[in-house]
This record gives sequence, structure tokens and C-alpha cells, in this order.
Amino acid sequence: MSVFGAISTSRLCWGCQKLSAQARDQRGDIEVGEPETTRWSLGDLTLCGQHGYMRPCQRVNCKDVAANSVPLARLCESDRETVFVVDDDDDLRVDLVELVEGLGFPAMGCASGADLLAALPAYKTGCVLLDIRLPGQDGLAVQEWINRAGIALPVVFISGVQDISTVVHCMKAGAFDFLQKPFGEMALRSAVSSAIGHSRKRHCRLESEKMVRQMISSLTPTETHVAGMISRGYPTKLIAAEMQRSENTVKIHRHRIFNKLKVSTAASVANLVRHLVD
Amino acid sequence: MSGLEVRKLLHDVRQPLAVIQVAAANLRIRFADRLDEGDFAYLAAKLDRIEEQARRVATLSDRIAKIIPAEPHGTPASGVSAPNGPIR
Repeated sequence: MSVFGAISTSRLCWGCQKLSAQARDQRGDIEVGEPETTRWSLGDLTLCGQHGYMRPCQRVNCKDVAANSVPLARLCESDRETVFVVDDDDDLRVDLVELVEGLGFPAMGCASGADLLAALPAYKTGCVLLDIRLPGQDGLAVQEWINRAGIALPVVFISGVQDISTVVHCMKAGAFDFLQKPFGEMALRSAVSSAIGHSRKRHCRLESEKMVRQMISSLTPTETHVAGMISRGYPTKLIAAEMQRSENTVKIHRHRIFNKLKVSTAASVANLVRHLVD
Repeated sequence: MSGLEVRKLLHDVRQPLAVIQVAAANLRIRFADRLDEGDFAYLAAKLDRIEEQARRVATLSDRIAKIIPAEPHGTPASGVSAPNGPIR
């Protein structure tokens, strides 16, 4: 049992989706990396001999067929992580939603760009599987809207398009990936996994930036000034001289800054301040 | 029939193929744990065959796309706003 809950064991190899003799032998809990550094727990993962060597980062998603399946990464996942499936073909949309859910991600189907745009702003992580030919606004217009609105969900286009120039156009416009219909389960799996991973990373970065901003905004103007000098490498003595204050006063400021920013070295202060400036 | 129309038709051919592939994948996932090994191996083999045939049709449509006349120069990429719309 993994720490993230019960995940049913599948008899299919995660890598090739085939039933294999080795797969049955290699079943079991596989936890990757150090508990405090890893973001991915693989739960019960079945691999055949051929795919047993895959690097951990590729094995983001275990072959999870449980009805009560849980997404695997918890660290940066937001509450409402969703894969949006936007396709006007009802048959494809329904089956695609089922497949994405089978891969372990909550999914929501949208029949048009307008449906998507209405639902989207409430979500922080996830990704969008977007058909290009849609009633009303087409996929490219929807993507442009997503970009303009600053919504941080990666867009994976799904389309039967056969000319390279349209694909190039989509990728240039910032698409995360392009799946040509018909696509297999593996292609979908890897596209969705990496898009979700990308989205979580972006979410993490935004969250940590927010945290840093909050910490830095808790500094008083004098402390901000001192922090700026610390980050430029000034020693306490010089800061005191520049501010025409005693060294002890600067030391007190320094101490408070370190406390507020929850760091213990001048280098870390420099890091945080630079982070904000960037 | 112009090359553009043929391309549109070929695009439409790929849509049901996608549905077939995705539905087959769903079946495989659904029954992975519900059938005994022999039955599942049988099902998986048949699903593989179905998917393989869908891929064959897709490959055929690729080949047809290659032999029809090329687009007038500059149509598709900039053609996002072209009169007939790009082929999607």
C-alpha cells in the first residue's frame, strides 16, 4: 500500500499495456526517490521486463484502474485539478473523458470553446485537450484566449489535421503538445502526464513566488533597504556606515530580516531578493 | 473535387478512427482486472487487432494526403484566417 492510499494492482505493464509473464512477477509497491524529495509515488506499478528500466520521472502515472483512483502527486496539486476535453464530437468526447479518468485524472468534457471558457478560470492546475475544429470559436481562438487571460493550463491539441503548417502554427502559438487523431492510449498518457506535470510545476512556482512576495512585503522600509544591501554583499560594518547607525542597530535589523524571511545566511537573502526582482 | 476538399474529407475520416482507438483503450482498462487471465488475453489481442486496423486506415489516409495536389503556397499556416479556413 502506498502512502497515497490504496491503488489497485493491474496486470498490465505500465510501459506497454500488455499482459506479460514478467509483469506478474514484478508487481508491487514501488516508491521512487527519497520520501522528502520525491513528488511522485507510483503506488502499485506493474512493469514487464522490457519496461522495468524506465526512469522514474517517466513513470508519473501508474496503471490505475481502480474506480476510486487517486491522482498520484499531492505536493503541488491544487484542489481542482482537471483535464478538460474539448471536442464537439460527442462519441469521442465521452470516451476520451472516460479514458482520461482511467489514467487517474479528473476530467471534464466541453462541447465547445464557450463551455470551456466558462469553466476554466476556476481551475489552477490541469490541462486542456483541445480540438481545433469546433463550433463557434475554433481551437486556435480558444488557445489565444487562454494565453491572453493568463490561465496557466497547458494546451494539448488533438486534431486530425494532416498539414504540418497548422501544427507549426499551433506550437508557435504556445501549444504544449499536438496529438494527431487517431492517437493511441500511450501517446495520450504521455502527453497528459507531462502536461499535468508542467502545470503542477508552474503552479508550484507561482505559489512559492507568492510566498516570497508575502515574506518580503512583511519587511519594514528600513529592513527592505538593509536587505537590499545585504543581498549586494555589504558587510554589517559598511551598512552601518552608510546608514549612519551603529553596528548593533544593523545587527538587529539583520536578525529581524533573517527571521522574517526564514533564512540563516546572507546568500539566501540575496536569493530571495533576486527572485523578487526577476 | 479540389485538393482542399479531399483534405477535409481525409480529416473527417480520422475522427471516427480516433473514437475507435479511444474506445478500445477504455475497454482494455475496464476489463484488465475483471476478467480472468485467459479471457483478458483474448480480449487484449482482439483490441490490439481493432486498433491496428484503425491505424492502417489512418496510414492510408496519410498516403492519400501525400498524392493529392499540394496547397497553393502559403495557404495553411497563414490560412488560419483564409477564406475557406485552414484544414483541421
